[in-house]
Amino acid sequence: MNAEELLVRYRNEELNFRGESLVAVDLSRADLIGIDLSGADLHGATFSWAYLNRAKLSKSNLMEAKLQGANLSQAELIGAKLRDADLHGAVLQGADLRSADLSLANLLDVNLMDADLRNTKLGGANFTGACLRGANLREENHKYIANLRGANLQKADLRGANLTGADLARADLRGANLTEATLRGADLSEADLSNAILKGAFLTESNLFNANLKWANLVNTKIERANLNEVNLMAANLQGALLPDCKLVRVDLRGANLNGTKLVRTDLRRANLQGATLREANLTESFLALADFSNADLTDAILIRAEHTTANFYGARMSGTTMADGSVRE
Amino acid sequence: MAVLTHFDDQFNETIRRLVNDQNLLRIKKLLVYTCRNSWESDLVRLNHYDLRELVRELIAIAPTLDQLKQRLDLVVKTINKPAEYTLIANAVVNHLKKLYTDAPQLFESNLDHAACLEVVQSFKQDQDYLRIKKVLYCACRHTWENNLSKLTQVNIFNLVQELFQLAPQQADLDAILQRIVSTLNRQDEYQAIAEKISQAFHHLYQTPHDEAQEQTHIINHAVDRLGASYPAVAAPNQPTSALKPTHSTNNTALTPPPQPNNQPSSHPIPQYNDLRSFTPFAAPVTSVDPVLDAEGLPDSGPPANVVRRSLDPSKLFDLRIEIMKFTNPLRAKILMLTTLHPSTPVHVQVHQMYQTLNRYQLDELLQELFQSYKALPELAVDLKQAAQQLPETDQYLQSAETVVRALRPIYEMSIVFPGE
Repeated sequence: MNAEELLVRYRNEELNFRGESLVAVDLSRADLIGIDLSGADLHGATFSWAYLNRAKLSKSNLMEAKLQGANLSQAELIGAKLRDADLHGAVLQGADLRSADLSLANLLDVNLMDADLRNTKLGGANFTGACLRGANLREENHKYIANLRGANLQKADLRGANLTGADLARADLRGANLTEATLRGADLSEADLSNAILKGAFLTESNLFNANLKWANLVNTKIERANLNEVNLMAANLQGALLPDCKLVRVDLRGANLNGTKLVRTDLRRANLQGATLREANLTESFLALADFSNADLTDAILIRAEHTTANFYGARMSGTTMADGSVRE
Repeated sequence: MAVLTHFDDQFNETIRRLVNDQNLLRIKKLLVYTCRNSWESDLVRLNHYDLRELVRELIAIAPTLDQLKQRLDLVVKTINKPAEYTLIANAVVNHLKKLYTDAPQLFESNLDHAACLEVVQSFKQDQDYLRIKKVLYCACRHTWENNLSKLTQVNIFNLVQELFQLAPQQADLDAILQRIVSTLNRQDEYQAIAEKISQAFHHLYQTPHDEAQEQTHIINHAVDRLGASYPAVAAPNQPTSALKPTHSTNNTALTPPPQPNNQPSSHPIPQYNDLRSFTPFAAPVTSVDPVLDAEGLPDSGPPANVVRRSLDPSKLFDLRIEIMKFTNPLRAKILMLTTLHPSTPVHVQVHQMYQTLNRYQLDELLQELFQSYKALPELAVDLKQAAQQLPETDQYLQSAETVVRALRPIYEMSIVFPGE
């Protein structure tokens, strides 16, 4: 079948084109709203600026397809192969992309608001400037390992997105907005989150080993029982964040804002907190061996039952600080 | 001086007619909104605006009667009471009509296209062509651009034309060039570039007759484009903190000297700012990663004067959503790119178009629009014009409306009133 035939049949109100072979077909700007191309072979096809709203494209082969500016809002793309596809500036609002393969796809400035991306393969994809607000990326089935590993999500809008268990290891999330996103159990090891916004996000039991969170905004973020060993949190804002039971070994918190942060039972061995502000921070039962608090502000901080005998408090402000033995500094 | 006297007479007569109009208050509101992008209903503040200045600015914004009508038409559509203000706009057009029709030459560009082409040709043959283009770009767009692909997309002829409009006299041009050079690190090298530009432009400013020179003077007097569109900057070595607010559009701060040849393209840049930089929506932006001080601690931030007119990055997320909700993001990008860089071949060849567009991000284009346009009505007009040049005009017009609607709250928050 060729493009012309398809368009004639579609104009005659035929919608069922399931399993058709339309390799490298050019249907740019075509009006194909609601078309059923499930299981069709559309390898290398061009759908730039096409109207594919509510189209059925599940299990279709759209590898290397050109879909720039196409409208795929509420389209069904379950299990679709979109590897290496170009979706630059496309509209995928509310699209169902469960188990789709979007590896290496170009998703620059794409609209993925409220899209369902559960179990999708997104490794190496470019999501720069993409809007994923309210999208569901929850990892339900662990048979897929790649997921968002190494993906480019620079400045992506992931506010309120569900990324539970997502594999974001080594992902580029610089300047991304993850406000109130759910990242429970997510793997963010070695990810670059510098300047990212994570206000009120949920990072419980996540793995952030060796991630870069320099200048990140983590105000009121919940990061219970997470692995933050060797994380760069220099000048990050963690005001009011909850970090009980976190591993923070060798973490770099120089100049960070930890005012009112809950650091109960944290492991802060060899952590660098030079010049950090920890006013009213709660460090009860924390392990502070060889931690460096020089020039830090610990005014009214609580260190009850904390192990701080080898910590360095040189030049630190400790007015009203409650020490391990319950005594309060003048 | 006969023409000057005639113009002055016409101008005074126009002002007199406006002052005596029974709808003076509404006329003033409309002019303030059109020229300063501020809806002013406070009588005291409204009285602070000089009607003569507003009319001069209006002429600068709309140098022909058609442009005036078009602009007012567009502005009126954004007001709550469009029917009532259409009448006010008509009154303004009627009052100013005589000024435009009696002395149309006063508002026409006195740019000699052949001479302009000669200037462009001399630049193109120069071994420092790229540096010349960088300086021209900076003078016109108030941004230092190192990105070669961006620079090559800008038509140098347009830059020469724009700069000529910005600097109607040689002295104005030299002042602009000196201000730019004074912000650069390699001042000796760029001083030579500035001199080359100044010499080349010298031919443009030379007019065959004294009358023409007089016309240039009149145009300067009437339009005062430089004051309206090019912000004043601190003189070299003058501490920026010494700048005192005197006028809403003329208060500026200078960014620190850039390193033109060593910076990534995303890093600034000699930029001139107005007080809008200090509004809640326009946050100070550091150009580089925070540096460590001698004690290994991060700096507390940039010095107070290191700010540039810029959208708060966190606001860009909301802006992007507003645009994506109502228009195709790719269409919005094409429209904005066409508006900002009219010479960009975004709709020539499909393959080339997508390659070009891949180099731009939606939020970067929004940022650039905000930095390039001081007033929303001006932006609205240019977006509309760009839309009209593109295929599927209706859809691009819708995108234009969406972009304007999304940016309106930010422009409204950016208004700085005189005396504030």
